[in-house]
Amino acid sequence: MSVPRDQRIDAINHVLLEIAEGNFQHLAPVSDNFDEIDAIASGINMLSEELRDTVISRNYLNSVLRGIVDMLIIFDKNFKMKQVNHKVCELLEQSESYFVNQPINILFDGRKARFIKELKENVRNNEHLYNIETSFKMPRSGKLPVALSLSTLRINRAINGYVLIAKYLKQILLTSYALLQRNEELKSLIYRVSHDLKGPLASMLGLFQVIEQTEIDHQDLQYYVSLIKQSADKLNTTLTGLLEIGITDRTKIDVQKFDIAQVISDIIDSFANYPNRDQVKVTLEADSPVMFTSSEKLFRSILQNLVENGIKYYNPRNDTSFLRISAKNARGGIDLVVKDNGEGMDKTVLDRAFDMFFRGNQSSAGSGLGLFIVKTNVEKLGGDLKVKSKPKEGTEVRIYLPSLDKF
Amino acid sequence: MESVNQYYTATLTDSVIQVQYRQISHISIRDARTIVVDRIRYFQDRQFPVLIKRAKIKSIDKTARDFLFDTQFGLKNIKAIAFIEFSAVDQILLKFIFHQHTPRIPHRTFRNENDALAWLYLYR
Repeated sequence: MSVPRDQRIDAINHVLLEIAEGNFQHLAPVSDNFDEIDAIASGINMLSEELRDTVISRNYLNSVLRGIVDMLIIFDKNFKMKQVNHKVCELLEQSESYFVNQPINILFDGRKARFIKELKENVRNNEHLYNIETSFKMPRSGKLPVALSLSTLRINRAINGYVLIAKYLKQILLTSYALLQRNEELKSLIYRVSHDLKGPLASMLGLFQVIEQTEIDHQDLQYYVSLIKQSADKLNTTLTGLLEIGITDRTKIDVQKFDIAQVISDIIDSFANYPNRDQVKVTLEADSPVMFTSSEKLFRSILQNLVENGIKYYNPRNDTSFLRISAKNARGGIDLVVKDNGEGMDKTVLDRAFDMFFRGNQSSAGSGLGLFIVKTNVEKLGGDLKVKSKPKEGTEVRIYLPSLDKF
Repeated sequence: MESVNQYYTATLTDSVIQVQYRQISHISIRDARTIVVDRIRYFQDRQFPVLIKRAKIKSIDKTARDFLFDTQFGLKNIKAIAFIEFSAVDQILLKFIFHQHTPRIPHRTFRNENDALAWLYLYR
């Protein structure tokens, strides 16, 4: 029994609506009549298949384009833009529709007509052009310095379009600068690690030699052993710091909710037997509990280093030395203030205080890594840090850490 | 000379291969491969014009269309191809295929067989 005409048309309508929704799985039924309605159904089915392939290809292309870090523009053979990637829209501050079907000229200042003409001629003659430094016109004002690479796209040897890759020059310069800085840090790290490990090691070796080559009594031996222990402690401090940097650098941030007041109290307690701890009055001003979502491990490390510095660099000339810590929820995160009336730092020292292996003075007992670790961890947690310090007056460190509950 | 399989009967007459499809409602890529492999095996490497007679085909997969109308595969050893349009469905199928998968050999549709053969004789 043949299906009534109205039902066949309804079925075709249904498939058309599905196609309009981007659903290409449905097929319009084709009967054994081989009539005009079947012909339409057949045509729609083939069209749906072609569209599905086009959509899949386009989605794939879009995902590739999104992954490209440089600006990428595809032109047709008349140098009209057919596709731009996200980076173009981001850097030139325009939507994709602003560019599509527009001529190449809208990318440039009106005075560059000759340059554009030469660019077109050169790419037609040479197939590929590399690293041509120029600038794109910004929509409102200003220029975007770029290095262009342009190539032809061919189908059966005939030019069918062009692909342009534009590197944002400022970004390249910034990347090179950051890379240079990292190189400098690395050089400094190697130098300082060698120096900091070699010093105590040489001292230990010298002491062992003295013990070996000299007849010494028990009392002297005890003295030499205590010196060896001092060197070993120094080595241990340096290696612990380095290990902490390594762990911070490599580990993924493990986010949890914790009471920062409790964590700070624990840290203060852990310094109970620290040298000169009894000389410094350590206080915590915080509501309890102060719940906060972040990496407890990195937070602990920040506080551990700041409390240690506060005690280690207390000012013995003060009648009362203090280290005051306050923590409160604010601005979708926490504001943390660590203030002491210790030795403090002058501007020269302060400017470099957060550098790796920097010590305020040569007699300093620290590893020179404490504040570097603090800074690294604060950055890793997306926060910011400010320091005020004056010699003999003390230091105030203000840290803001955002809550990572949406992390 | 005649080749017969589950899909068609192909006869070589006056140096033109005439293909009469059986009633197949749908051609998939698997069907397309068998159709082409059988034809090439039977007629070997000789080249002929081909006439596709009345065929009650409702649909051909996109992958099958790509394969059948590629000179490396479905159109291999075919000098020219003519189709007899029998129904409105044939018309749509062929129009669509000629537009989307344009064969890179001479190709035409006809309403009657004699006109088609007269045209194909030009390519013997």
